[in-house]
Amino acid sequence: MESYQPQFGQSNIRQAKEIALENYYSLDEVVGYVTGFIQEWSLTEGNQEKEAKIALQFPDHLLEDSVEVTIWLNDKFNEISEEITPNSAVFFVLGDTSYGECCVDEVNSEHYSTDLILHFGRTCFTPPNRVRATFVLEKYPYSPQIYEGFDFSEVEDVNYENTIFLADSGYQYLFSEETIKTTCPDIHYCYVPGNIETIPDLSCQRKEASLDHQIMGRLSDGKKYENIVFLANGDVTDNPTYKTLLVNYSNSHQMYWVDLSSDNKVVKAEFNSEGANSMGKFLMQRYNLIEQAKEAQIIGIIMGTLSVKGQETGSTSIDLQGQNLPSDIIKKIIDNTGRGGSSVSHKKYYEILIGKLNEPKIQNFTSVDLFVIVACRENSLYYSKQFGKPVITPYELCIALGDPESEWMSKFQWESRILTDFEQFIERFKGEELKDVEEDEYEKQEREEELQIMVQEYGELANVYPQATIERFRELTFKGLEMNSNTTPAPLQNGKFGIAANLEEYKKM
Amino acid sequence: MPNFTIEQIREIMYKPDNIRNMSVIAHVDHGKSTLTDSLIAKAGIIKEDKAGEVRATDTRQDEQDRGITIKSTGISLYYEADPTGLDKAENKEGFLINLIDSPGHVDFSSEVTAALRVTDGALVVVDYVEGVCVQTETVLRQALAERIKPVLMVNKIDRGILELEAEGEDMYQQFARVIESINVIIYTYEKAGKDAEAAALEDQKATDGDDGEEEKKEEKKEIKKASMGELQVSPVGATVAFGSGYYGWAFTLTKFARIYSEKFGIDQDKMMSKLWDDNYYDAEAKKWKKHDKPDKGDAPLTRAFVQFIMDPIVRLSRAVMNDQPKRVWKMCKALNIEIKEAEKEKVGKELFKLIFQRWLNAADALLEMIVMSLPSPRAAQAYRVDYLYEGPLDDECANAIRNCDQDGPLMVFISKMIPTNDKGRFYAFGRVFSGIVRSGEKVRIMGPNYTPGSKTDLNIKSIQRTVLMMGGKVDQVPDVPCGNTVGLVGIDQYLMKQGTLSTSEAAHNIKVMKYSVSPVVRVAVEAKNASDLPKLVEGLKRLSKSDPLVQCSTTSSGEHIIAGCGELHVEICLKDLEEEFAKIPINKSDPVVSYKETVTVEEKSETCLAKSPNKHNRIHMQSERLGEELSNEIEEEKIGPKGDVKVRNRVLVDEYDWDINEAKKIWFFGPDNMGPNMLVDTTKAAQYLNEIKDSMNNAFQWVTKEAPLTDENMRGVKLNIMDVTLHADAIHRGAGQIVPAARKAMFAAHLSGGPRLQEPVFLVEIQAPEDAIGGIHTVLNRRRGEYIDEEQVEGTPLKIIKAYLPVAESFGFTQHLRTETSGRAFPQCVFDHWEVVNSDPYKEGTTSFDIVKEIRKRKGLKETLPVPEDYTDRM
Repeated sequence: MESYQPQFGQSNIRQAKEIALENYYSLDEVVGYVTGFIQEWSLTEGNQEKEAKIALQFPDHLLEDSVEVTIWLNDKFNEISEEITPNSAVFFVLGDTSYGECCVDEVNSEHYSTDLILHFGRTCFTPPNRVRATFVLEKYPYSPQIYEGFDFSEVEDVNYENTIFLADSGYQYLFSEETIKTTCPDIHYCYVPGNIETIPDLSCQRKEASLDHQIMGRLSDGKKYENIVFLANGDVTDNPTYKTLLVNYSNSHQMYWVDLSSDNKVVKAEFNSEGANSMGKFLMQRYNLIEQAKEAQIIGIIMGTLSVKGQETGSTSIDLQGQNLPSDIIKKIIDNTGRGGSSVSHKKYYEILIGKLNEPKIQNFTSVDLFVIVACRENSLYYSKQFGKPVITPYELCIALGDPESEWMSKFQWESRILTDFEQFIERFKGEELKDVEEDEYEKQEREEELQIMVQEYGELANVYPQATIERFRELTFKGLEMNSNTTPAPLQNGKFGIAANLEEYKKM
Repeated sequence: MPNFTIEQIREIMYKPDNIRNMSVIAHVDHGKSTLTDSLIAKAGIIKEDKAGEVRATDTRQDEQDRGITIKSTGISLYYEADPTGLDKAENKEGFLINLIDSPGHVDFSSEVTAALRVTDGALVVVDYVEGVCVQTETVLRQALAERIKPVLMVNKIDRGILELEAEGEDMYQQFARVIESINVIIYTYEKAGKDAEAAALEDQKATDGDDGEEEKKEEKKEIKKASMGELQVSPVGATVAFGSGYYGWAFTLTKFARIYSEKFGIDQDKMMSKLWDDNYYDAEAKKWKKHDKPDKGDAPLTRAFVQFIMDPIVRLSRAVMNDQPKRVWKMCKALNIEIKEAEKEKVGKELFKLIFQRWLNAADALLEMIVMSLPSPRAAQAYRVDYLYEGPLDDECANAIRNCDQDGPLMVFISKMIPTNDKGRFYAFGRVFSGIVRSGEKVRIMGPNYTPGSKTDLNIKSIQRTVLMMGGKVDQVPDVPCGNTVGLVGIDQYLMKQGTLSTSEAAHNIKVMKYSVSPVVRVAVEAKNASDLPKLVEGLKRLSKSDPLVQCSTTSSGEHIIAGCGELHVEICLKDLEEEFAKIPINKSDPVVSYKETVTVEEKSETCLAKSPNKHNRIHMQSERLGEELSNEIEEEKIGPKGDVKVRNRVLVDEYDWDINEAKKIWFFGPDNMGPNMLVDTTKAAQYLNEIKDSMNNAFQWVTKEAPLTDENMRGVKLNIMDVTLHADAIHRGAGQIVPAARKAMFAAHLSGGPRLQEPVFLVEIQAPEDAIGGIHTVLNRRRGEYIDEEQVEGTPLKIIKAYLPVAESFGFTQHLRTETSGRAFPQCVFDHWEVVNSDPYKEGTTSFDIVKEIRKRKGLKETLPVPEDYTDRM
């Protein structure tokens, strides 16, 4: 079935092109970085005698390299470390990732209480939230034609002046290489923001990370450009970064791409053409989901990554009253709309943590009409047929809830794109106030009346579940085991505590 | 300017006995709108000499341009008439006629249905030359089913006189034929009704016997069924008029009986019967006879109808048209037709119109017929309530409807939405069946899915304004009492297309209208600029509201589909969407047909196994053919999830040879819980099966909606659950495990049942002269048409050819036919049935293969077709 295919077809470029391990992953620099890290880390109280736990995270298609890399790093580190630091380090590979491959797996790393994660492979440049991590970028090989600069001959009105270049994470290193600086001195490109550590070290310390200048987690120089050229390795059709770029920016920029593995020709992105997979069709599909969101009664909020932050994005000043969990923000948004509106009844929501999405997990929530996923920018768009239930982004949800009369919601109008970056999404609430909503008198009264009816029919259940859920419950043919009022329920007992891999007896606080 | 005031209308609105709600129905081009003009002219809204040309009820520009009616248009008219039929000034009373002019083209018959619902009587217009046509029959049947009383108008008799140069006797014969065919339709309907009633009574007896419930019987008896009275039309009963809408004249026998009864000194009623049928007047013997043999001489007598009515008309017409002024003036004098000197200068058609309008005014004749023969709301609702009301027939609301009670609870049925000038808003147009609807009043708005006691499909909102629909214009009024049609402002966003309004909490719905046509022709639309998407979606919503039948839907691939019942219907919808509702540039696909997927295997397919994602649950499924007849019955909602299960089981066992145990285990119908596919439990002692019922249904609804080959609906597929093995822990057999497994098993079962496509087929009726037949056959052959029957239209050189034509081949059919027959053939296409495309979709080069490939491409599905093995697991 379609739903069990891997999301994106990727291949191990290093093995295909037979590039040496240490060059492809800049392993010398990695060792240098790790040593530096451990020196610094050992200074912290309590760490002097400890062994540093360093996790290596690989995407599935690079897993075959993981053993070699680990061994290499271990050997090298042991070789040099004695001179520098008394602490030892253990390198290990993180297995099954909890969320998307492009993000740092914070859940797993917390389970192993790692001190540092080295993230290998393609990344979406979402800075990790609660663990120390650094991105080890691949170094894709490029065609020698780049020594002649870029070839604009096949596209009109495109030149270095009005164009910004954005690289797939494996080509990001190119911008700091001498070659490109000499062949194309006028090139404008996006660089890695200062708050993100990468190996090789590409992050730019020059500027504060301002969201205005952000494109796909990278920073531009803040000028307006008409065109965006994407540097890709091989075909772009299945490239998640490129796809996300199109979805986010094709309404405002002309899109081009270069396949740097074979030549240096700038090609126009053909996404407006006819055919089932065109951008127009894609946007139609997404708009259809927005329409469905308008009708949805019960919404599931899925956490698709833990890296995405709600607050603390530079100057954002939404009144979130100390809450910065993205799911809390979405709850507030839902709470703030739909009330007082004439036709939309208030929507209910559940917060759901299920790791990587798949059909069985989604299908388990039969009464949920629609899911909103809070994930990184490259991992937010799901083909709804995959799961049988629509999965949309918070941005789309806001368009669906949009009420032209409400001031802040009017910021969310259909603009032929989908904003997948959560931080940019939150940025729109800048200066707005999301209140804790209180029911007005009429509503309260109506709800209480409803509750009365439900209590009569369903007893205690009525206090727990929203009305829509009960309506659905009523429709079920199998409502669970028969209530047997004669037996006395067993008393509650303390269960076990902790994560499934390592349960502890419940401790009295 | 109208020669009546709103005040006059408002006064009569409160006298239900003086109201007539009627619709004008007919085959396309038989002259409904033209005839309606006469009535409107009589009310002073348009000039009398322009009547027949302006078509005042064709309010849309494209209606005027194309010369056909597209939307039905309501208008309220005030007249003074004598309800006793004697035409005496002192007897005259004010009457309010709420008239609805309906379209005749088969593509718009849903508009007719909506019009019929809110009226009590129907004026059936039949072309003298063409006689009773397909659409006449269709709409008449619909009217009878809605318990609407018909009266007949034989139109365009001027063509008989002037073009065909028919003599009186020929015309009589043609009239008799038309009346006969209308009465045959009415008779068959009445007979079917009686048979059904008898059968129901028998059934009732049987079930009563079974249960031994005597009470029920008594209850039944208490509610007396009011009868509709005589339905057959006859000239003697003054329910048939003859005339010419274009020239604005018409007559019933009453008019002539009134004149001649004085002359002969016979009672008016008696005179009427003399003027029809085999009645002859022997002038020499001064005797009425039943045969045409005179006492003296051999020359046969002339039929009284011909002698006293047709002959003068024919002679006068010919005199006018042949330009013989002296004869004309002489005859005018004899017939008491006043012609002013100034008007004597007119010649030809203008004079013809003038003289006949004076002499036999169409409006007068029709009005008399309408007032005397059509029922008042009070009379009609007494017998219509049984049919209309869904709830118990003795509750408060039913009684209020039955008595047309102004003091009862409010009951309004909204039959259609009419766009207002205010962009995006609609008047909800409907009929007040009981109570009084007032501006500002809070009402319960109940959609088709509302059931009393629940909150689904229910809104409680205030009516902003109440208006009267006057053709294209509206007049605001403070309230409208029962028995009238009404337009309501401010409730449009709470109703999809139709619904019931009430003030009573106990009120049930008024029956939802069913249409005789199905939306089988579809186009996909797309906004040229993606930024216009919101406008497109909004426009589609409005379009869907404005037309009772059109279906606007979105597929899971985001395509927006407009489905209508014919090419013309879809064309009009697209035009409205682009120019009226969305106002954005639109890309539209070529028309496409909706296909269905079915299975064809003789017995049963092999059993397919699928495992759940966690491999702990196994589901075994099998597919089977449901059969064409049974599928149809489900689609007609004769068999289905609603209604008594016992009755359903008996029908399945008796008529379809089902095993009673299997019939008892029908779990669900799908898609949408009512479609022509079934999920049947045929397991034996499978543990926990009842717990996964909802998950199975979930998967079943999904599968039947989006079948594996084309993503289109399934039809006529019975899916049997053969066995299930489920994990002992409830947590491992949750919906998340069962739904994917069941879906796979159902897909596999469907695909191993010899999957085939079903395509919709039109029944076409083509009317053409003899020598065009050759061309018609050529066109039919080239388009996979299947010839059924050919019939001579009596009294004309025309023939009617019937054939089946696949909808897929019907695009451009009309145009093609015109070219092949030099524009002399007129086809009418109406959806008839589904037919299996008899080729294997897996075999390259077959029709099915091409169709499937095309659909998959359009929907962006993988090009390779799925096979059962894609979905099955090994033991």
